[in-house]
Amino acid sequence: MRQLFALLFTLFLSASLTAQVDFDHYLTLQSKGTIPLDFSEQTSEKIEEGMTERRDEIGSQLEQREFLEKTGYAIDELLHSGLVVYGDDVSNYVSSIADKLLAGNPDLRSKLRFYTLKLNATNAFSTDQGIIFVTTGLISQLSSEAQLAFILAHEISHYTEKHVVETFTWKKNNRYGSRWVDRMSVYSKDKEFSADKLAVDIYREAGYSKDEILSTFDVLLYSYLPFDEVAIDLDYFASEQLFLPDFLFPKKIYEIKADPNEDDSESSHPNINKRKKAVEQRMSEIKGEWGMTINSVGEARFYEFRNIARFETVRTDVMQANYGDALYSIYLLEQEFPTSTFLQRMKMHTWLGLYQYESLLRTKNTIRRNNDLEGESAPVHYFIRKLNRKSLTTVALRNIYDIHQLNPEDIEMSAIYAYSLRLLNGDDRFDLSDYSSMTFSQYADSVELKNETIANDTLVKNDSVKAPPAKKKSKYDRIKKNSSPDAIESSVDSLKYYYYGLSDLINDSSFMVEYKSYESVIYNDAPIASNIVRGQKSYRDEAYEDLKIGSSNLIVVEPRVMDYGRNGINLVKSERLENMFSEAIIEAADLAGTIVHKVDKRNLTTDTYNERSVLIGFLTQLVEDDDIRPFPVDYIQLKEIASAYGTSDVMFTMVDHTKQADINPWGVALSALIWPTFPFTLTLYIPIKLMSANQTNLTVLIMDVESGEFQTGNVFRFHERVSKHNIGARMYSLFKHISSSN
Amino acid sequence: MKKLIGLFLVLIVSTSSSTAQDNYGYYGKKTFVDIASSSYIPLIYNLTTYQKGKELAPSGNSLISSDTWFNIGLRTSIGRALSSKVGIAFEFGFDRYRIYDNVFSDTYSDESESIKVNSFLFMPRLEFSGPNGLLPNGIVHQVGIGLNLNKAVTRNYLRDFGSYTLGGPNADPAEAEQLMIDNKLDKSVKLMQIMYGLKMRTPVGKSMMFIYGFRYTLDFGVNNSGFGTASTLNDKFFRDVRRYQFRNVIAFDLGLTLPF
Repeated sequence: MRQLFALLFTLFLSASLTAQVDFDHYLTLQSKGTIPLDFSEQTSEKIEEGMTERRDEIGSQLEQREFLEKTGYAIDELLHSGLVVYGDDVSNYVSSIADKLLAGNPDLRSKLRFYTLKLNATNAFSTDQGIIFVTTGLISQLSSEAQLAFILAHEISHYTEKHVVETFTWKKNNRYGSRWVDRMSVYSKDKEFSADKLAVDIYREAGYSKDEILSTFDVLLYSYLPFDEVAIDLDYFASEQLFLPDFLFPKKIYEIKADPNEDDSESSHPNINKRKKAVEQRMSEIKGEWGMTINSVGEARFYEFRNIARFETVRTDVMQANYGDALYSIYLLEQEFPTSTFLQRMKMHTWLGLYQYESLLRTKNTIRRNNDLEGESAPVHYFIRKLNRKSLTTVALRNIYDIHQLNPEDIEMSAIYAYSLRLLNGDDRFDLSDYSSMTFSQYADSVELKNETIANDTLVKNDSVKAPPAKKKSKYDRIKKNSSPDAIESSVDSLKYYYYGLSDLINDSSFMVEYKSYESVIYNDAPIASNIVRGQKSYRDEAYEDLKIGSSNLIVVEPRVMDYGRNGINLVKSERLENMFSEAIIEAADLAGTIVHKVDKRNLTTDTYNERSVLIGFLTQLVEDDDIRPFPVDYIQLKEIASAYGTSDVMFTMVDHTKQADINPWGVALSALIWPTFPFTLTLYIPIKLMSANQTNLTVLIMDVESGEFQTGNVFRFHERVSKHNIGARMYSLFKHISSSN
Repeated sequence: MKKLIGLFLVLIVSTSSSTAQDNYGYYGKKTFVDIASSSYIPLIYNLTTYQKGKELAPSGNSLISSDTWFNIGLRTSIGRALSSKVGIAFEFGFDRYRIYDNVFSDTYSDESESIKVNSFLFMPRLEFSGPNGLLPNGIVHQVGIGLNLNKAVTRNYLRDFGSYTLGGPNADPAEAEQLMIDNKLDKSVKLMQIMYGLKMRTPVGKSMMFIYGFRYTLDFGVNNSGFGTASTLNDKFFRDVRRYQFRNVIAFDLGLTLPF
């Protein structure tokens, strides 16, 4: 029977590894199967379980607890960040490679879990708990499965050699002092050499090709570059309607500066050449046979997994507002997937985001710095940097409009389009009447025609009578003439290319009607930052009045509590308070008559885990820049969540608490010197300070996940400790406000 | 005062029966009852009272020196949050304390038993929460003006004439004269009390909170004048009650709040 189950399992796994991915309708990776304990168990429970087994290598029992707490909370933070995926195609693929690597060591294999991390950093890392994370950024950069196998073998070696624990104890025994970083670097590099050496053995035993090991280091060396290096066609950003002059693109080639011999004296890892040499040395010591495996699932399937990772890098770049990188990655992927709606959506997100950042003059935050420009992606960053506010707005609207025209039925694209027009409608600095009704080529033709006319006129006039004296123009006449979009000049002015980029829209009366029909969004009605600032004065009635959105049906993501003690965040207490806060919300909502759909990390199934990941992803996107309301990158998934719960209002809450009496000792001393004031100091000043020592901030944020719009929110500051009913009573009041309408 | 009290009670009752917004209050509960002890150390009074009174020795008919270093009273109030930041309440307080100055003494050498005084406080007050407060929960600033009625406990008090009374040395100082004061200290001392309270209400459940904090008071005479020389027994009594109340500026309150 067991064999039958094993066969079924293998069939199931292999089926999942051979399924075709529809990149034309790609949706971000989601977790599948049963939720692992890593995600469902509370950190405090894990710590207590960890304490049942005494681990002498860590030190005293107290140090063991400290180690478990420090690592446990950090890893759980990551596990609940919304970035981790389990049971998906990529994680299963990675796990299947681990199966091969550890075929001869089932005991070790059973201790390890492999999860995909949606991050663009090229990285993989193992934890003391036996979790190995592999980023999509890493997979996107690989050229073969064998490279991934070597990296996994390296991480498995870190685990088997207990490098995490050893590093912890090293740090405990080597306090900060002179040349600490150098000593730490030497120590850490030793661990890396050791892991590389062991990885070679594991890798070889699994039958992977010897030739692929060293190329793995090339992946690492160039990992800061995009996943491919292809020259971009500069016409990519232009269209029939939009002429882009040459000066927007660089004339020079940006060389790649990666140095395999870089100074690693303060680095945790040896430089690439040192690692290569050490690995070569180990390879030369091995006398046995090497296998031939490069891609166990076949090259095509490997590329499919890699493309999943590459699609994810685009999404991550859009989420993190790395728009320069996103555009280049989209360009690369469009060469292979020209009809992918996912890429078109991401391109719309990117141009919308660029317009939003440019509105606040922050576009530079979304592209690489001039000094960091390298390789074939540099022209994209250069191009964006060269665009000014008006030209970028034009290019953004042009792209958003064109993509929407090509995909009018796509729900997400329509929503982005509508959102863009609403933003533009509310943008005082954008006015369609500034634009010309001619295309740039019509404009150029007209200039040529005028030049001919002038020339002919001159000839005629020269042949007959004296030309009338030219009317003297004032400075202001010239300014008016030059600023007129339809001004016909004596030569083509390519600096004004963008004035002619929207002529088809202006001439399209139905577009103009549609554009004007959109209710404008007041741009930069900053959702979070200004409210946090305002939160300091949010005892004003307006803070509560703003909450009145008439919603008594909310999706509530579990609250976050950060309780600050003398040594930073008290993690154990914070977790306990989070549980309490969570209960308080439910009870308060029940009393206030508000329907609450809890999406809570303490009570997850795979479905709710996926929902939570999407919601947290949206929140992550929101906090990327406090003043910008990005359109949700997972719009479709958010819409599904809203549909499932019957509401699109999602509430995020957070409490941060610190206790500090804030008594000014110098003030007290001064008061003692001016003795008549001292009784007041003793009886009034000090009691007031003691009583208001608790400083608690309750942050509430409600977003409409369907539109991506900020509904309401504020920070409420009060001087009470964080207790179930202090928070519960406040949440009751907030629910009542939220359910009423202005 | 009666009108003011009436007005406050009407306000509390009327607002509690109204169908006003329920987006403030403690879980929507806006009416609350405080039951608290009010304790204080009559430090200033003890240190600044020139001639100390005595207490009746537990063994019998003699006086012994004894200062009261801790006094405790009772405060109860009913209140109503009018918004998340403003509330009103009416407070009733009771204290029993001793005044040391020898009310019955004719000279500085004779001594009498300290007089026990009952104090009744009737005080309407306003409550203000701190920033982002949610009355009645959390930090509360209380401000009130009320009537503090002080009346001696009418019973026999011992008086010891000592050695240097006008009538000559007493043969047996231990045998103190018993005085009946029923018909001598027959008036109450009316004081106007101005109060500022800095309190914290900390929830312990949906229907109960701890209340604790400081209470700062100043008392001014209403029906007598000054702290100066007093000739009659009643004047002396007035003076000493005022001294006592005036010098007890700060008290610590601890109790329960029941919201409903």
